[in-house]
Amino acid sequence: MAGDAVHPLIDAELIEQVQQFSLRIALAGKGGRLAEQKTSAKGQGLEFADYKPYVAGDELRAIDWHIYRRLGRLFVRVFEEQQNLPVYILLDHSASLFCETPSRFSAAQRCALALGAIALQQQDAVRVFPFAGKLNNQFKNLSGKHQLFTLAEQLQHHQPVNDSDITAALTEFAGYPLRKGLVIVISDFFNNSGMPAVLDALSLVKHNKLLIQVTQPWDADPRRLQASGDIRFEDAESAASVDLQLSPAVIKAYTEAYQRFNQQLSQYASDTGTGLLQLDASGPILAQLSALFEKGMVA
Amino acid sequence: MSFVNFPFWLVVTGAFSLIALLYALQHLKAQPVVLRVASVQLWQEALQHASANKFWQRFRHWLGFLLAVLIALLLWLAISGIRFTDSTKPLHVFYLDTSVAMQAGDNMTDAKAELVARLPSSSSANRELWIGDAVPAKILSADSSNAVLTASLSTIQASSHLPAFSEWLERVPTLYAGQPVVVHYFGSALGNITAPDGIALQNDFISAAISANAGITAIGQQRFMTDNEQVSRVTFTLLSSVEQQFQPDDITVLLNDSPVDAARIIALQDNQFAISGIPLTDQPQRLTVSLNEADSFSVDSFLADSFLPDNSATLMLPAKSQIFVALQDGLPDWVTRFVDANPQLTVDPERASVSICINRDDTCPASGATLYADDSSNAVTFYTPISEEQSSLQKIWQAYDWSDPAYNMPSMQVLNAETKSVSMPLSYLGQLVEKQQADPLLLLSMAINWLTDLPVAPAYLAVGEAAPVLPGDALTQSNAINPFPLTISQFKEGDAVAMASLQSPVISRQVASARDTSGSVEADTGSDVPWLTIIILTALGLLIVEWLMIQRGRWA
Repeated sequence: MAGDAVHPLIDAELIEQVQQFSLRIALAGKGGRLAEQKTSAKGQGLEFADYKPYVAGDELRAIDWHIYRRLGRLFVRVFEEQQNLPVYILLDHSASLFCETPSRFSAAQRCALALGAIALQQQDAVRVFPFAGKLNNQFKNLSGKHQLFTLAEQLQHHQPVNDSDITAALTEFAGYPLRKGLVIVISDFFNNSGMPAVLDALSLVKHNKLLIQVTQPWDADPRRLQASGDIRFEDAESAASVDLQLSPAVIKAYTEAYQRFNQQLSQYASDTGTGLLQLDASGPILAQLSALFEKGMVA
Repeated sequence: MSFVNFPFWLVVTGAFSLIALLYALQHLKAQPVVLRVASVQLWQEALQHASANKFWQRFRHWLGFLLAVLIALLLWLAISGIRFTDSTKPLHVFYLDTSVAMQAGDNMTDAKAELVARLPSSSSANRELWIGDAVPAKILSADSSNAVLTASLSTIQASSHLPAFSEWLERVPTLYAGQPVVVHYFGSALGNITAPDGIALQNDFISAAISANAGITAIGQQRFMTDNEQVSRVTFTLLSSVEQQFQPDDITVLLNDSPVDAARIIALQDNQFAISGIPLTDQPQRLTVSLNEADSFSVDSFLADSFLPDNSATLMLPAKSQIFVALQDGLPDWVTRFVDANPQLTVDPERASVSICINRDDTCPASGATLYADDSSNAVTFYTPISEEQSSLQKIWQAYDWSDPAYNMPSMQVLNAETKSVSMPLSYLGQLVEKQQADPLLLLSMAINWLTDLPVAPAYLAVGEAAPVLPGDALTQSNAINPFPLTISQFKEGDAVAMASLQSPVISRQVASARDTSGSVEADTGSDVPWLTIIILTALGLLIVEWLMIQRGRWA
């Protein structure tokens, strides 16, 4: 870990603190390396799963001689095989995450690195998919805690991109023949087509999902913008702008719209058992991640 | 509806300009605060929901524009002085006579007191106050409070002019464009004056008549040259309404505040007096003539002088003048004798401002001006290129009757020349000198005075006011002396009481013609409704409403 601390993105204290957490899902897809994640694969392991008729080549140690004594036929014991958990981190680097101070992308980076560090620590496979206008699949799986620096490198160098499309990125990702694992989507989930399109795209992803919604305090309470009078809101990604007077009525209408926006995401998460964390980009990362794990949103 | 401060066309133009300006301002968006946010999608949604709450809010921009236009127009109308006139109500015009007759006794004080007492009975919205002597003038129009009127009256004093009320009254229908007017008159007796049609005349105060008067009615001076000094002779006339014959003891004369011995006051006929031989000094001197107290008068009937302003008169005696001259050789003896005998003239070629020559050649000393004792032409000739001076000279000529054949003097000729000069017929002047005629010497003296641009002291002036010096005007017979300036100006029938004026009617006519009667601004009678207050309060109310709606976001 001492060598990893040289990377500017790596916060050694944060990484050390998150080691206490673990990322697990109910059942991962088979095909990985042996590790600690339950999978659908049967084979070597400690926990008994089933019996099967002996065929040539089976381990002789697995033959259950008690059954043979009673039935006169050879059966071998089959164990659940624990493999590594594939963790896919979908990191949004659209311009909307860069336009404020502190930027949402900075919080997203640190959150992604923290979760990736947990996975690497437990010998899982971590793969980063940055996305904005389209999905970037150039990065390979990383495994082993020694890959933390590489993970940080993969998370660091991303430029803001206008005209992002999270639905296209999720749809493309859903089409990849990847081993079932945990998909961590880190984004602000703002989309010009609206939240329903995002949720539809999320439904196509047949993995366990953890949604990290990166927020700012003024998203829910625009009065914290500390602005009044005539205001022109400019969209960070498009040329769209809105001229309005920040009156109580407008603030109330915005708050209601934002609540509807959040409620759709929360409802989806609740209905599908998807983990959801609203990450305050202006707040400390560790405390919010702790709350995530304490609530059991990640099994 | 009318406007006090601006003409109608200007008010309409201004109103349309304001509307156009505000309309243009509607299209000039204020520079908003720009905030860059992750997404404006939710703000767009919020704006749609917020503006759709109420139907009228969709028109909030036009309502705001309408409010702004209303506020601006109301303020503009208030500035324009909008008035809603009621032509059925008469305008009450209070006329305070300030002519000379009001100087008698307590006439003016009593008139003002009566006027102040009657002011509260009229509405402040439809009354005016005029003062009038030779030139009536409106000093306060409608909407002036009683306090303002009273304060304004306190400074008004009677003048020495003749009253002009009757002429003004004839012009009232024109001034007020046929509007019903009630004229409240406060002044001296009017006599047989009939108000024009549509004008009601009320004599609210008629001053007491002058019962007895004695005054200095004419005072003037003449300057003389004696053997060795310049002297002045002052002449004045006393007049009494009771045929009083005055004596020098009834008079006090002060020269620069020092009493002049009564023995020097010479009584002439018809109450005329003269003080001769007053030496002129280097500085002007102030001579004051005043009547002694009435108690000292010998006639018992003249114990009360109810017209005191004419009991004293002041005359400024000019400083003596000194003119340096240069003489050409060969001048006749009478010329040199004249120069030597005239204390005003000093021969000093170095400082000479006038040269007296007989020939126009190089031997004539150079100076600013030259007097030619020329015998080449049978004429007295003044040369001047300035038309005003030519006119002035002609009037002087006529004033002294130098063109009169009785004096056997040639007519004046005025010729153009580049420099000032006077040419005199030597032979004629010599004959006049031999005959000891004064006029030729005066002519010579006047010529030298004119050449040196010294002001020529008027020969005689009436008291009452300074004689006006009008452009191109000089001493003429018409305005020089009025031996009896005490004129009967008004005559009240029945009581047969005369009102006196000291002023020469000639001078009064000149002043009246120079200043036309100031007309009324317009017939701005108004109702009692305080429109200005209502308009301003309404505009302020609308302003507050707009502020609440916009700044506090009550409608967005």
